[in-house]
Amino acid sequence: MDQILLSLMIFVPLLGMVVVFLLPNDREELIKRVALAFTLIPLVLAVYLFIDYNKSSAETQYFVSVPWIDTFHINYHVGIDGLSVTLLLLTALLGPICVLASWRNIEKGLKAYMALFLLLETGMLGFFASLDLFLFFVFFELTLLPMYFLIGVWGGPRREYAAIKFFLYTLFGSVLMLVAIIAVYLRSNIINDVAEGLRTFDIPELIQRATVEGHALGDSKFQMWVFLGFFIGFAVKVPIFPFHTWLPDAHVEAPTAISVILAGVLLKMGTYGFVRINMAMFPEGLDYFTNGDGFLGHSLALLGFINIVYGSFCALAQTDFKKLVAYSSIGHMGFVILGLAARNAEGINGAVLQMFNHGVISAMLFLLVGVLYDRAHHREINGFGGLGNRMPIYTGITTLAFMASLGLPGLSGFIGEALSLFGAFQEFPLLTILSTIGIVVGAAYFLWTLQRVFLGALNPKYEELPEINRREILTLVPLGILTIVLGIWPNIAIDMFSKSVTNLVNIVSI
Amino acid sequence: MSLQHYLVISSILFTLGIFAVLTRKNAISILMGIELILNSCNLNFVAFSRFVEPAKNIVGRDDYLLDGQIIAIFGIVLAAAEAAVFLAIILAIYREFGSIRPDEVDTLKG
Amino acid sequence: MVVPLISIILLAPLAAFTIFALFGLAKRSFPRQDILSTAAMLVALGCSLYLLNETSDPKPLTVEWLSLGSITLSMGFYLDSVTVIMLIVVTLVSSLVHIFSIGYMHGDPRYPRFFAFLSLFSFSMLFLVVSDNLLGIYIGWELVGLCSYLLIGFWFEKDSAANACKKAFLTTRVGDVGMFIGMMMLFKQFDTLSLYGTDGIFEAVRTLEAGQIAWLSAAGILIFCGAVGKSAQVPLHTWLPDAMEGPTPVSALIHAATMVAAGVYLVARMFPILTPSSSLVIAYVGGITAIVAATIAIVRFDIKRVLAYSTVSQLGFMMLALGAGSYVAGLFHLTTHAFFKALLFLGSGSVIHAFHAMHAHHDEEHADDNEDEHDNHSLVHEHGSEIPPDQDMRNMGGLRRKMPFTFFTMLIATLSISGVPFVFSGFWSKDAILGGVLERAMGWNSVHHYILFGVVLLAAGITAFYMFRLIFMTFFGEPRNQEMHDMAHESPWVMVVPLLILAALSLPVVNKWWFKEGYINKPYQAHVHEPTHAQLRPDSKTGDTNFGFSNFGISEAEAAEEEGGHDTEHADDAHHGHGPAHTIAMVLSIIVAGLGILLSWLFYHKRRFTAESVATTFRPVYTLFWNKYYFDEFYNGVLVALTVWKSRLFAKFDLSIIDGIVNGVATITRAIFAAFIGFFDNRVIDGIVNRVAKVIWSVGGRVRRIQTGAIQTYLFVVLGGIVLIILIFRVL
Repeated sequence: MDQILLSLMIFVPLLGMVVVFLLPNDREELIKRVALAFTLIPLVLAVYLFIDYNKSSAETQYFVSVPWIDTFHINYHVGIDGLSVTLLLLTALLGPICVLASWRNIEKGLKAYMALFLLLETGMLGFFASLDLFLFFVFFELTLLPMYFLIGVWGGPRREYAAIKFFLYTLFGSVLMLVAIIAVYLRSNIINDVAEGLRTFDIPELIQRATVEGHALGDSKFQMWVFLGFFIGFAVKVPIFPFHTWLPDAHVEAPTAISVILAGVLLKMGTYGFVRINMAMFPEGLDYFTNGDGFLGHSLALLGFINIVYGSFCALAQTDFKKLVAYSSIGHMGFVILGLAARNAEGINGAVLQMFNHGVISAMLFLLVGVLYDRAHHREINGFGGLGNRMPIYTGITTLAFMASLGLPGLSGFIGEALSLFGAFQEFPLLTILSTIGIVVGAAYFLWTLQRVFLGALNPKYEELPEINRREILTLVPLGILTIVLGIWPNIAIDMFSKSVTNLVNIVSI
Repeated sequence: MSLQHYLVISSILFTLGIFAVLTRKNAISILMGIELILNSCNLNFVAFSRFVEPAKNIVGRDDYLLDGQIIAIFGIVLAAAEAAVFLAIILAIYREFGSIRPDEVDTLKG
Repeated sequence: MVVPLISIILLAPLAAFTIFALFGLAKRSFPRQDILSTAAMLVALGCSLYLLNETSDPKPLTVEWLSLGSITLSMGFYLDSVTVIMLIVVTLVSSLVHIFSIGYMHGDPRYPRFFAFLSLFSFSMLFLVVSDNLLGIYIGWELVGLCSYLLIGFWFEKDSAANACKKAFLTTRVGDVGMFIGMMMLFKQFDTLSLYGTDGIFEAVRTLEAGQIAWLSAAGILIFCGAVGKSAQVPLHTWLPDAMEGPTPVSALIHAATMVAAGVYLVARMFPILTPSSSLVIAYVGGITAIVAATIAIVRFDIKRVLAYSTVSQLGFMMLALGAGSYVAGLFHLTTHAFFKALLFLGSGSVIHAFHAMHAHHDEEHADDNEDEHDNHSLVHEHGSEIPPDQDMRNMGGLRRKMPFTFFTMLIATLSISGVPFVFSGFWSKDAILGGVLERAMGWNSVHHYILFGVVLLAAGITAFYMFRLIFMTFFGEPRNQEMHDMAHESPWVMVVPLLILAALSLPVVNKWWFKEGYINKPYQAHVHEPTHAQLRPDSKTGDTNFGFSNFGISEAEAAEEEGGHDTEHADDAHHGHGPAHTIAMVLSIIVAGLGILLSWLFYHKRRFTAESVATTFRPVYTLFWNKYYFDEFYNGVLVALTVWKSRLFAKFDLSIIDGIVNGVATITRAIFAAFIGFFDNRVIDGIVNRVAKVIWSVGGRVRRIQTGAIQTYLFVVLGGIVLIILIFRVL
């Protein structure tokens, strides 16, 4: 029974997609309820897995491995460790929240929207659970298609441009990744230039083989190139400068719920993949870019630093609320990169925690922007003013989200950021000190936005703006609680993955 | 009367039938030609059935089979059915084109 | 017993805030939030007083907060005499401010929210105080920042308030980043952020090699950066005067008990890691702050801004004391200052409240202004040149008869801050600081400390001058604005009672005993016996390793403390008349205070000289003071503008260069590559396809003629075919 739970969680939304397709077009309420139900099931399962997961062990749990395409030794291999169970929880949590957030503001083609959303959820859940490189890639690509349509059909005025940009960017990265995957596969059974045994796509098996003396996968030059292939694939997703320009466009055009998924989960796919593949499988390749030796040895940390500072400064200049949040995402993902580049327990734990926290916080931010957009039908920051008096609850929640995002201690955003910086400081002190500029600028743009939107005299245009309603509060409260709880007691999350991270630290510290 | 006599009669009937089918300008005549062809075939079946060496049964006596005759009866029944269908088609063609001359009904011309 | 007490102290105000937040989420508010918050603070005060004799176990609670494989970060409480004193000061002042606010904020549309924020503010400060590790202190530290943001911007409809709260948060955050870097340095070195205990930083610092002192100094200065931000030291002091945009009780809380005290408290807590160099930096920053803020205060007319600059100046005194090694004096001044500054602010609040009708009127006017300027929000803002009429001292005068209680209590506070001898607590604490600095100067023969002593003495004189200027302008003389004067009235008892309590606390008998009895001990500074800057003087005795203390008999106390015991022998600083330094300092401080008061009396009461004529004589100096040394202009005009400009540049770069490259690649791909492929596809690939189709078409056109439509033809052909086949098979 336990074995099937994980697969059940992955494919329940797919089943939901079929069911939604079978429903009549005009029963919109029913469609929404069914979609909600089919996103709630994975959430329940994810919570169960999260609680049931044995955190004292670093082993992969709940794994299932059955042959899928035997000719190429491809298995349907899924399983979870501390890292993936955390992100699975995040994904499953955002599922129903996004359905709720789409409750009123999808004007056309609700059935197709919900069906595509459910497909997207399957893709994301599968991605985080898969332990076979081929399956991993399939799920990675599976998220691309529904996303393309969700942005391209239900998006804003420039939706087609944004959708195509998003699609091509990601595809560009994943092509390089596919090449790297094939290269790994072809080398997977060569030891000392002699083929031995079968080739494999199995991730744990590949990680194990890479450590064998004389194995072709362990060759450091090879690792460097394959590392680069995977890295670019994931860098586009994260996004890492200079592959980031799809993000603001996609966010601005995407409907609220899709922005939430995009920032909350899709960006994490990049960093998750980086941890799962680049770090665990190619520690020698990683070493080239993070050993602190010359320019190349600083390059990853440098990218993290650029992301932080560049993203923050760009955010400061934005006048579109959603674009501001999008650029802030770029900045915050920089902390993840910086923490990962440090290769020590603090850095990686911090980075993983930051992934989760950023997922929660940025989801909140996009939901909040959506709430405002649904009412005022524009997102121009300078066009508001004084809403604090008109919408006190909304203002309160926004302040909470902003504070969490700018890294106020006591809220979850701080811990991840701080640990990443603590870790990075031990390896790259100068870059880390420079990165702290991002903290100040982050505070500056959030406070400035807070002032321009909520403080000051009430803009007479918005005297009748309705307060946030109960459904919207319902979408925000779980995330808000999570932000506060994890800020006060981060060990809840860190306990889940610290064993897996310790494992990883042992692999990467060569 | 040997088998050859029957076959000669049958060949004459067959040839006449073919001739009628190819040359007559009236659909009814063509039908008649077809009937001739069919009957020549029936005659052949019966003749062969009669003149083929019979097989010996288990006790060693001749075992005459009536296969040819039975097929001939099938053939007759078939001819009757065919004539009915043919005439129905001819009626339909006449209603459509006002003629039963096949060379005037050439809408399938490429 | 200790842990539950501390927990109650923390949880009571937090609970008050949480109740507000939960009710708020349901669009309601708790019926009596004011009573709830005040009661919570009083409970906390009671528990704090109870803790006074419970300092036997300094680390009552430690919990593992974060465990990352081999490294664990723990959180816990630390309780010693300093903690207890801070707890009492914070809860006491906060309780009184709560009570005062019941009267002051009465009728405000967001009345419940105000109390909820006050509670959260107090909680943050208390959490900071009891934390036993840097991370906990940092968490409390930033929460204090958040609360100050919320409270300074409480009347956020005013643009000036909205600007001020943002400025406060951002300015302190700049300092906080420095502190964060300092924390990272310490963490890298020691793998822990705990301060006390065998695996704490203070224990580890002792074993540092001589070569690492420079590094430790850097860390100390960076940590001090946090205090520069929070305690409004030069150059990050500009937010504090602007913070006067908040309601006056908030100012009292910020200035006396919570926010600015946090910085001093932090430096005091981090005292053991301070090296001679970092101490000297701290002392200089403190000294400069003291004099700069005092000179600015002379020329202010806004009653609250005068007090604000006086706070900045007094904080400079405290920092100087800590930097000069007078640990106890610094903390002593922190507590005495907390009481008399809270009193001054609440008193000024009482005065402003007296003009409340005008205040409301003014608000309406102001709101109209804001609408006009609505679109002019920017990160750069003009600030505070315009003084609200109810805070302008030029509108006041002669209030002592109208508001006797307020006058009386404020006078006590003023006497205290000015350093009028013997009766008032401020004299003792200020004197302790002056004595401590002079003592260090004489002991180390340090020219730096002589300079600092001179500076701070001057600042003390100026303090007396401008404080009495405030008193004379407000309460003496004839009313300058008769209309407002007529409207003024004494405040209700909920506001007066806190004033009286605070006035009582400004007398030395109440709060001097714990310093006098050696309740506080100076912590051990492992590396301070290498006063490198003192060695600059040719006649210094460089060989003496215990150099800094040898003349003053502290070394025994140090030695005793090194062994870990809480010795009964008190630290030297709080004692007066101990050695020549303190005597000299006391005499000098009485003289300058008297001089300051005398001058003030001559200027503003007797009107022997007018301030205007002096101002015209020293025009450039006056302009410099009036414009607050152009700090704001520099920040707004240069730093903020530069940041905004840079952000625009980056955004433009992003949009035109990075995105331009992406779009360019797309365009090039489309234009060149795609055009070629398109041509090829159109002409060659599609050409072949079309050609094939055409051939088939024409062949078909010919072949179709076979289809005659005549059945007999077909039959004939069939027959011919059969004959042909037969013939072929025959032949073969």
